[in-house]
Amino acid sequence: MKLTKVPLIAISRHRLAIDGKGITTLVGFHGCPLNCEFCINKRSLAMSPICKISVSELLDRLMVDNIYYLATGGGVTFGGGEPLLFYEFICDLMAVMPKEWNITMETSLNVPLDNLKKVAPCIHEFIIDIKDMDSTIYKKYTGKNNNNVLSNLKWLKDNGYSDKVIIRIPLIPNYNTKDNQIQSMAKLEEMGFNRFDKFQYVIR
Amino acid sequence: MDTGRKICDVLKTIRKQIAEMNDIVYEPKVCHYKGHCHGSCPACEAEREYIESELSFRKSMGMKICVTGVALGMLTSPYNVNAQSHLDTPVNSTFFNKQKSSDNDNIPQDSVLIKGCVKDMLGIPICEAPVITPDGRYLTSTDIEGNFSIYIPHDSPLTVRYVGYETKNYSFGDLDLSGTNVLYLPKAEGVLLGEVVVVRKKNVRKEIRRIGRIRRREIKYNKRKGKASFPGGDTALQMYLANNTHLAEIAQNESNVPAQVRVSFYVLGDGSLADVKVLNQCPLRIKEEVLRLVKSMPKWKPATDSSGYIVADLVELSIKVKGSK
Repeated sequence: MKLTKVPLIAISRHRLAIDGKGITTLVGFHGCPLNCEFCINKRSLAMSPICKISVSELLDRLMVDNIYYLATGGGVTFGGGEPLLFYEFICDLMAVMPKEWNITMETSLNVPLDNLKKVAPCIHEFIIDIKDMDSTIYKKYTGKNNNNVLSNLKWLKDNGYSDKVIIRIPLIPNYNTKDNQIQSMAKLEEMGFNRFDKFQYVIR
Repeated sequence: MDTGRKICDVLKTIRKQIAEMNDIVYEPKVCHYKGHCHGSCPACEAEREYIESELSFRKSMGMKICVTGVALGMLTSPYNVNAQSHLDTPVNSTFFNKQKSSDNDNIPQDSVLIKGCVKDMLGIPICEAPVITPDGRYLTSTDIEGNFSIYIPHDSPLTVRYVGYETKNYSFGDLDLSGTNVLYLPKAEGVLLGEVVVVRKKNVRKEIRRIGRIRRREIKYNKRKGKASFPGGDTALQMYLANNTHLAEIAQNESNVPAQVRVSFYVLGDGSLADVKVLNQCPLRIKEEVLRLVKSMPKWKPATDSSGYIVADLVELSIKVKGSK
């Protein structure tokens, strides 16, 4: 069944090269399969979303910044929450939005492969937060196993998407160490990925 | 400057560039709002709508419009600069280098790591300023503290730019390979906080001459008014140089050592030094020692202009190398 309206937690405009090229608008979806201790958008796990929106309503909200996207090579970043849970909605939106927009997908990739297969051809850049490649650390931190993540990464590589992928490898206090980070990176390099964004969680 | 105002400035500059490319008469309104800026407001949205309506009109008249890519170079910074700044390795630049290497393995073997910080006239760090090689192959951007680090090919110059500031080019010889390069970006002429000065095309030459006159006058005033000075004056400066230098020892093991080394730098508004540059030819170890000596100086007393405002000041010093051959 196609979703007519999807739950969102935020539409953040005028982001300057924070999560995608040029000027971007971040569309934050509500809902996530993971339950991370240091979730950066706790609202995505709250009982109710901020709003529900249809494809045409969202397109209207995005079109206002069309000239900025075109001028700077920017576009839309789907984040959240887990945007790939709403892959049908995203496909519908991408079918009607200007083709020049740069589309970035921020995802944990912990979704069924079918979700990914549908949207992957339309995405210009994936930013994938793998947490840690060690399945024990992953399970401890997110409460879920990472089988989907690994198989989806393999699918991306096998289907020629590895150049579009940036993999985020966080250093998570109390969960992994710099050595774990290096090991994760080595495993991913072995798989055929070479663009990484290593960073550290700062707990406040 | 808060993030909102920075966003507002960037959007304004983009609108201006689009207007210029499409011959749209556009003069951004001067913003007098003193509170927290969210990056856009009803006045900004009205300006955007005006540009859009002008573009639509031109399109409907069958005219060619030019929007795509007109401000492509403005925002070159990669992702999540703030998060990456916690790392002690140059993540931003390696990120891009890795990307390039996957294509054609083009990272030069003799690449050099350049570290630095970009500051404005008052010594305030400029965040998210692109730092780039002229061919655009190697780029990074400054983090929230103005810091950057980038691998560049040996002998490659480096360009730093930012919206509202003059673009500055640094030759490879000007860069300190072992220490931190504090780079100073002066404000661009004609751009003030919260407003953009627009000049009619036919008046451009006149305007350039006018700005030239003002600049010459300002330089004259700056010379006449309080110049930047070392704390304690010239005597204290000479004592500092004499007591802290190892030039004499280094010079004994080097050949072609000049009798003195000339060095130039800017004293910024907070008294810190930027763009420290050795002006004459000398052995690398001598150059490194001079750079170390100058960079470890205490903060200077900044210069003031004719109105008493603090300004950045260019200082030139000659440092004697005792025992030179």
